[in-house]
Order: sequence, then structure tokens, then C-alpha cells
Amino acid sequence: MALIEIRNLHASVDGKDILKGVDLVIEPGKVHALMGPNGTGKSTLSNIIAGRDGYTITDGDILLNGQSLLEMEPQDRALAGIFLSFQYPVEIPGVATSTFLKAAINARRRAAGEGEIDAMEFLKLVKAKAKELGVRDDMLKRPVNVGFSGGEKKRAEVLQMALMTPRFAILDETDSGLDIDALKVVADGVNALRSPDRSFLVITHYQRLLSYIVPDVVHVFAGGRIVRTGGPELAEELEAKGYADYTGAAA
Amino acid sequence: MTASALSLVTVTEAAQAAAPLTDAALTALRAEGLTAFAAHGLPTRTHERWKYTRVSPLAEVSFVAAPTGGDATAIQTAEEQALNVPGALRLVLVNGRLRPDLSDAAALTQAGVSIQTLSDAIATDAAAVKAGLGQALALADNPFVALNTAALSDGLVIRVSATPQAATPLHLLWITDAAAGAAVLVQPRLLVEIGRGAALTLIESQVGATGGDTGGDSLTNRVSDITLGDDARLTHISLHNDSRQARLLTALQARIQRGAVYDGFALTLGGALVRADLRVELLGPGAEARLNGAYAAGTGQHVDTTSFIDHAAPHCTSAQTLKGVLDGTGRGVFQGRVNVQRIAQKTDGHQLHKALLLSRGAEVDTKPELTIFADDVKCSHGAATGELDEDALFYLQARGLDPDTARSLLIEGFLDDVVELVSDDALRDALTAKIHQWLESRS
Repeated sequence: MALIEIRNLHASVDGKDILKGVDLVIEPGKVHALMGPNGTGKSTLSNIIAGRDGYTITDGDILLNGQSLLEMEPQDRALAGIFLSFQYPVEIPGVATSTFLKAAINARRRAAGEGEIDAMEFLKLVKAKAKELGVRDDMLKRPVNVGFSGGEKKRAEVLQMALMTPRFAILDETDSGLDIDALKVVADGVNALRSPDRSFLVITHYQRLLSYIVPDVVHVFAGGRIVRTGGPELAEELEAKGYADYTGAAA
Repeated sequence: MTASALSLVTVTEAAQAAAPLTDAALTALRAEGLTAFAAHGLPTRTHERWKYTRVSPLAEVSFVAAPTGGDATAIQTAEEQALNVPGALRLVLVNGRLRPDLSDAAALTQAGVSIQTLSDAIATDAAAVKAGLGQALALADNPFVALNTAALSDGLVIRVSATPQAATPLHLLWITDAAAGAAVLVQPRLLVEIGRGAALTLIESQVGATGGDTGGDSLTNRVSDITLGDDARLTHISLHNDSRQARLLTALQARIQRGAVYDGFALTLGGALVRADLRVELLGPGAEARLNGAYAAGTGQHVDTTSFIDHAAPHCTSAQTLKGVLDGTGRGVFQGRVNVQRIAQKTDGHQLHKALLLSRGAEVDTKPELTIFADDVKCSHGAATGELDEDALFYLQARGLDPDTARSLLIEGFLDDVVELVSDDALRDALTAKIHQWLESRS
């Protein structure tokens, strides 16, 4: 069975249609890339999957392991295994990153009927993962994303992903604002999480990231839906030719 | 005067009679205070400084003199409400009176630190006490300072002189012990004098002997006079966490000389009415004042910070960041005025108030004011009022936190953010622990 299935999804914001019939099936263990021009609804799709308010679903459905997500609250989707790595991670003054990570881990443990994580166990877990991703200890003490560079924010997102162990992760323009070194670190972090029962949707504008996170399937997204699907070679074609062929589809 | 404030006058008169002063000048000052209060009565909303805070309901209350109070359970309950600063030497004051039996003996014998009850200090050297009483708040314009001055007898005098070893922090536990059914009036005076080059960390916890939701009516009208000599330093942390019925009016008058630093932080969580009247005078070049704080007010709570910072010398710095969380029908008030005198070139003065409104019934009134007579200064002020950040809420929910937990975390973060301005780790931890305790108790 598909891990994620999006069927004929239509959505609008303030009466304006953004998604116009998205169909997407992702099998367990697969990495799909979603590429396309800016402003065509890629981020809207990721926000809707994660459960953000403010969108009206006018038709279609999103299924995780055959179960509809649409009636679920964002936190319930997260606990069911959905993870969104934000294009613009939110800064939260006054809340230490470690406090936030602990709260997120404990939310999962409570949902699983387990007790809160022991302080020592938490530190050991977080520090080990943080080290792998080049997240410095002082970043864990700092407020969530406050004063983090673009690269630090994205690394912190991947650290959260590693701690949340999702079944389906969406990386929304994780490569934006990253230099080549940061890009490698982030890609290595994502690749380390690839497994036969975990799937990814990598949203990006450029082929660059896909040299490091090699997708199984590449989709071109334009005009609120998927207009073409192919293998990794499609990403290279787009890099060479741009999106000019597809902008017409947006009209 | 308005006949309605009669009870306050009667109880204050009785306090005068119960504790006569031998010193003629101070006796005259007391009389002056009573005359000033009687002449003007309770301030009304036509007084600019009381525009947003209504104290006229005090006229309906029949006050009584505060009992001695302070039995073992009362002290234990009070301690739970207070800041927990390990290592600080504790002085317990029940209804304004020092209780050596409940205090750390070592607090009274520290090298370089002299601590006396106000009445002992008056008996020792009345002229020195009179000199320490701030004249900044004119009695005619400050009815509650006048009333406190009229009652002059309870309280504490702390004098610190420079010693090779830094003084151990002092923690004043102001405990209101009001039995149900009686409205007590407590009017202590605190004098703090930090001599040239000396330093002190002073922690104050204003708490109730009966805990959060119970306890009788009370009015604490506390005045603090603080004098910092050249290059002196006072780190001053205050917690206002009295019981649900308690009313607390505090006035602080600080005179800060050349190179001295007043580093203040006030956290207000409990009490029906909490008003802090701050008046800080920067009197010598390089003097510095920080008046930061955080507060929370829910239904039945009114928290008012009204401050006046006077830059009376060049090269002085003042900074004030205040953050408040308003819930239910809670109300917050911030009136901040920074005055830069003609002589005060190179002034650096900043003021910021931020409020978080959690309900439709909550209200906040802010009035930051800058008056500048010098031409080479760096000053700013600002006020922002908003609701919880929807993006941040979604971010936390997307990580699996339920909305209640997410909101609590954001509220805590909003307040903790300003506590970051406190540089000492132990003090910061004590403050954030109280904020955490408050959040736990409201959920």
C-alpha cells in the first residue's frame, strides 16, 4: 500500500484556487522530488499536508496508510508520522531549543503511552544527533531559531526530523539560503534517515539539492498540479532548460 | 479631603500613637505626611499618574492595624510563593515588621552590611534616617507616599559599605498575614544606602501567608528609598506574588550617583492590585539604571507600572523593558516617562513595553513619554501589543504539541525572554521557576 496518497486535491485561499487537482502516490522508502516555478502552490501543498489553517479544501483527499488526514489536527498528524521541514523555520524568543525538543519528544512519548523522557537520556540522545548534524551545543541553549543563520536553521530542522523519526517527511525548499557546505551537511542528515519504511517529498526549485539527495521520482509542479513525472534525469533536464515549457500550464 | 478615606487616616493615626518617635524632626515629618494625605485624599483619575488605576474602592474598606501574625504554617505557605534563591541570607518581615526569630542570623552580622529595623535606626541616628528618606516624591503629589511617611515606624534600614569580600545576597520576605474577614493595612518603609564602591544583591518577595486564592483583604503601602554612592551597584530583584485579595502599592525612589548602577527587575504574578511607582534620578556622569520586568494579570488583577526616569547628568544610561501577559479580564498599565535635562548630553535612554493579550476581555494601557532638553542624546521608546503568534503555534503543533501545551510554552517564552536581561544565573533561574509555577497553576 502507498504510504502517502493524494487524490485529486483542490484547495483555495480566500476564494482563490491554488491547488487544482493534485494526484500523488508515494510508496514506502521512496524519495520524491517536487520541482517547479515559484508561486505555483508547492508550499501550499506542504502546509495543507501538515494541517495548517487558512486553506479551504474544495475536493479530494490526503491519505496516510489509507487513512484520511484532512479531519486531523496538526499535532495529531505529526504524531501519526507527518513531518514538515519549514521553508522559513519560525523564531520563538524565550523558548530554549532544548526545551522545545524535549516538549516535542515528550508529546510523542505520551501519545505512545510512555512516560516523560529522563533528563540524562534526553541530553545523550540530542547531543549525539546534534553532533552528527553539526549543531553546536550552544545552539541548543539558544531560543528556537533566534539568531540562527540560514544554514543553522535548516540543520536544526533536520535535527528535529532525526528526533521525531517521521514516516513521511516533507522538505520545503530546505536548500534555500544554504551554501554548498551546509547543503552537504543537511543532505547527509536526510540520507542517513532514508529507510525502507520512511518516505520523503523534497520540494525544491533547483536541481542542486537532488545531486545530494537522489530522488526515485521527480515531478514537475505548475499551475496548482503535477504536470509531468519522470526519473532523476528529469531534474537535470529542468536544470538545463528551466521551467519555460511549464509556465503556460499555470495560466 | 474626601471623608471616604477616613479609615486609612484613622488606622495611620493609631499607628502614630502606638509608636511615638522621640525625634522632633521626624515627628514633624510624620505630621506633614498625614496633613498632605488628609488634604488631598485618595488620588482620582484626574491625577495624570493615576489615570488608568482606580483606587477609590479603598474608601469602602474598613482597615485595621495589622496583627503580629506569622505562625509556622503561615511562614511555610509564604515561602512556597516566594523566590527560591539558594545561598541568599533571608530576612523575614511579617506585616512590615522584622522577625529575627524567622530570619537568618548571619544576615544581621555580615561584614560591611548594617541592618536595623527602622525604629532602631531612628533611635540610633534620626538625622541619618531623615537624610535617607527620599525627597523626590513630593508628599503633596504622592498621597500614598505621604500616608506611608505619616505611619513611619515599621520597616528596615540596610547600609552597605565597600569591603574586600562581596556581600552575600539578602532576601527580604515581605509576608502579608491577613486573617479572613479583616482588611489589614501594612505600611513599611525600606531604606537602602550603598556606599561608594560597594555592591549588594537585594531580593524581595512580597507574598501572602495564606497562599494564592485565600486570605483576607489587605493593603500594603510600601515605600523604598534607595541611595547609591559613586560607583556603587545594586542588583534588585523583586517578586510580587501576594494572595488573590491583596493590594500592593509600592513606591521606589532611587538616587544614583556618578558611575553607580541600579539593576532592577520586577516580576508580578499575584495580587488583586499591584502598582509600582518608580522614580529614578541619575545624578552623576556614568550612572546607569535598568528597570526591567515582567508581569501577568488574569481576571481580577490589575498591574500598573508607572515610572519616571530623570537624566540629570551627562553620559548616563537608562533602560526599561517590560513585558506583560493579560488574560481573562486582567488589566495592565504602563506609564513611563524619561526626562533628559539640558545638562544631560550623551544620554542613552531606552524604554519598551510589550503586552500579550490572551483574551478579548483583557486590556492594556500604555503611555511611554520622552521629554528631552539636551541636543546630543540617543533615546527611544516603544510599545507593542499583540496576540500569540499563529505561525509559532502552528510550528509547535506541527512538532506534535497540543494547542494548550504550545500556548503555555509560548507564554512562558514571552516572559522568560525578558528575564534573560538578568545576568546572574541563580536569580534568572529563580525568576523563571516562578513563571513556570504560575503557568502550571493556571492550567
